[in-house]
Amino acid sequence: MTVSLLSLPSKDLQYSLSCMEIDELIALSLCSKRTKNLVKSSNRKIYQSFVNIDEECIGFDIMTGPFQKIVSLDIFDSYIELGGTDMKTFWIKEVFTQSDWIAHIMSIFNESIINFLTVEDVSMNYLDTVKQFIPKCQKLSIREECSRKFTKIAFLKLCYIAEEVKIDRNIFDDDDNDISKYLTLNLKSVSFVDWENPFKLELADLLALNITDLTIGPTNITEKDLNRFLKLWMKGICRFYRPERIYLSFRNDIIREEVIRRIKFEIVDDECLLTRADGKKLLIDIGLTHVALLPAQIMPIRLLSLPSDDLQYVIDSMDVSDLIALSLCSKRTKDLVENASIAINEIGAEVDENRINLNILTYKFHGHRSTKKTIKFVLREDCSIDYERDDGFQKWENTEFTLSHLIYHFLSLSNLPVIGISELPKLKIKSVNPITYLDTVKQEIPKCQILKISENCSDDVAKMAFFKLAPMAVEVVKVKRNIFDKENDISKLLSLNLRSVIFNDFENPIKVTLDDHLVVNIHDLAIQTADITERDLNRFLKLWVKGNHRFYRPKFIRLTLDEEFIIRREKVFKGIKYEEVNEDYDDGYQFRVDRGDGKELMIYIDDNHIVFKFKFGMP
Amino acid sequence: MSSTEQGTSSAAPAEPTTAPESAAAPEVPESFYYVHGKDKVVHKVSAGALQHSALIHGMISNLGYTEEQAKANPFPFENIDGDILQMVVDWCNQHKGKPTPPEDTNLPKQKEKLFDLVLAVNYLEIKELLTYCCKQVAMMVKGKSPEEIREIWMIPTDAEDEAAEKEAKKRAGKEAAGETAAAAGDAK
Repeated sequence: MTVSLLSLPSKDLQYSLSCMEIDELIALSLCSKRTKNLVKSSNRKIYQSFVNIDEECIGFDIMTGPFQKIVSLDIFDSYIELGGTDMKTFWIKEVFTQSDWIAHIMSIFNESIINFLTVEDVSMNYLDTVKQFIPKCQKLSIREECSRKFTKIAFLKLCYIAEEVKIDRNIFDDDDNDISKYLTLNLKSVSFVDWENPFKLELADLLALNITDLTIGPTNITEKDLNRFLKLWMKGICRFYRPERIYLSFRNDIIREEVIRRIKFEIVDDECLLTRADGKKLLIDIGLTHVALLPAQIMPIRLLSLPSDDLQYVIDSMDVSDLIALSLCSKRTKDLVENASIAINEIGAEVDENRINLNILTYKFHGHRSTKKTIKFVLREDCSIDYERDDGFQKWENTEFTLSHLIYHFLSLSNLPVIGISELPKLKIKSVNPITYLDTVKQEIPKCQILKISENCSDDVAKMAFFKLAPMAVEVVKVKRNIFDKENDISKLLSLNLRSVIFNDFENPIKVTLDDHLVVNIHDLAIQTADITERDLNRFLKLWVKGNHRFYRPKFIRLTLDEEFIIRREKVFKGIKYEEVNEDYDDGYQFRVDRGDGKELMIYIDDNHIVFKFKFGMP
Repeated sequence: MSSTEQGTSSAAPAEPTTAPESAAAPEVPESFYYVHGKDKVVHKVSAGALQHSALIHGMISNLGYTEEQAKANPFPFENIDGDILQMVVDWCNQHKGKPTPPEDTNLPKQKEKLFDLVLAVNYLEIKELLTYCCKQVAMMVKGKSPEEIREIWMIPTDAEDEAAEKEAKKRAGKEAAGETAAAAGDAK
């Protein structure tokens, strides 16, 4: 006798489903898409699920409730064998793979997580497949029988899908101390237990630990190392220590006094409570053969879930240094900070020996008032970046950002006018040592708007900095001293194809000859103070009129001579046909010299100051 | 100071065991109102203390309850945990008729409750307490690095945000496909 189940009134249908066992529901779900959705809509829950991974067959046990029967399924490609019954029952779906079966079962019970996952010795490639069809599990264990090599690889491949990982054998090589790379993984809960083979653990491993809840047993870490760890913790070395529980067990008795030697603590419920200067606490439970360390954590709050007004108020209550740190957390927090009442008015870097300081000038507005603050990041010789704080808080060390990332970040936060998004507005070369550090500078800061080479740089450094870095300056290069020797090597620098260069040295005039003038390839050149004769200026003008430099690139050449020197117009224009023009004619230029090809040169002379403006001078 | 009793929103609360404390003895008898949170524990609060909450103050003005009516009908705040409401009530009582100092030392110290407290105070519209709580939240990350801030304020990284977005899209796609399939099945 048959019953048209799907024609039943929906309440009766739901009641029928609620009377069915889990295995019956799975069988029903396989009949059609409609029955699958029907089972799904019945909202039947699995109490616990256990999956055992073997390459040939995946064992899937489902517990329907506490002390309830377990439904055992052996999953193969294209069919499932139902265990626990006298008769062998198979459900076949030709097109289904093992992965499809698991996805189907999880889907009909609206589950996304396997409770217990056990891995047998399978091939390495198969581990990747496992990760695909079991994206998440609560507890992962790798069978003791698996080889060390396999266990290590399986651990690394699967640890991130599990909330808790349990390894019941010592898989680590004591000589290589390779346990440390497993301890630095960002995991929730890991347990390594092997009573026959103790785990070698050192102070550095504890310091680098990144697992929230770690159990290791037994370990042979010494009391001395534990004591040193506690002392370092007290000093604030591990300032933001991620672990919340470290449980270490030992084969031998622990000498409690050695562990807490010369450490100030108070006794709370027979446990030692350490309190650090910054208020952080660490509870230590020392038993006969175990030590448990329980660093008290700040209770986190989900800031981004706060109502928008409150979130805005929190942001407004923060100072600039903290806002800068917040802006670096993610794109979302960057957007939040962008809307906060701060302004970034200057961004510049300074090269000092073998370090680069990135300085950001910020303003925070409080109504009509504002406070000014300079934020400083330092790229150190080992390429790590520190954030140096001037407000008494410990600096951040080894930030996760690169210098170019920070430059990009702050430029996009600011309203500074930039042509390219990663163009640093100002780069100052204060000093460089060794000189090869200039290559690092070039690598870290590929483009800037203004490059300043300080008077503190040696001639060699300044010249090298000019050659290496001037081409990356989009707007202007300023050299604050006369870096040229008697060999008159200025011409090498003047012949570089640059936009704007200013040489500035009032004490040591820069010798410029006619030849230097002729090779200039800089769009806008200014020299203060220039050492050039009126005769050379005159010869230069004559050659220009003759059209010797047809494709002369400069648009402006501004020369300031020694302040006691007065440039005599008649000497400069001797033998040259020129015209005096009204000062309103062209930005105050007084003289015009025309040439046969239609190009014209405007000249301004004032005491010791002469400016050439080449009109249509650009090729 | 407040008193608490077990009860339900519909049942009238019993008289408090201790008399409410006030800064100065009122010349006219003070009126009291009653509030309860998720745990149904009823708190007796003076009208003066409740003035801090713009929401409750508005409710009182609009309803025009007598004390007897108020006693019989405590204001229900089912979305606020009992211990959080207790903190809020304590604060309101402590600051009855007084301006809040810029650094208020009488305020709740439990950091783990701060988030819920902010939500409750925001809902109850207690501006001064909200200001203080938000400052406390800001202080949690004073001097911290981005990595630390991410942990303290549970800020997902960009990669996590992207993954969550992808997952949400995938889920929405699957649900839409499931609905289409179900509709097609029903049509058959």
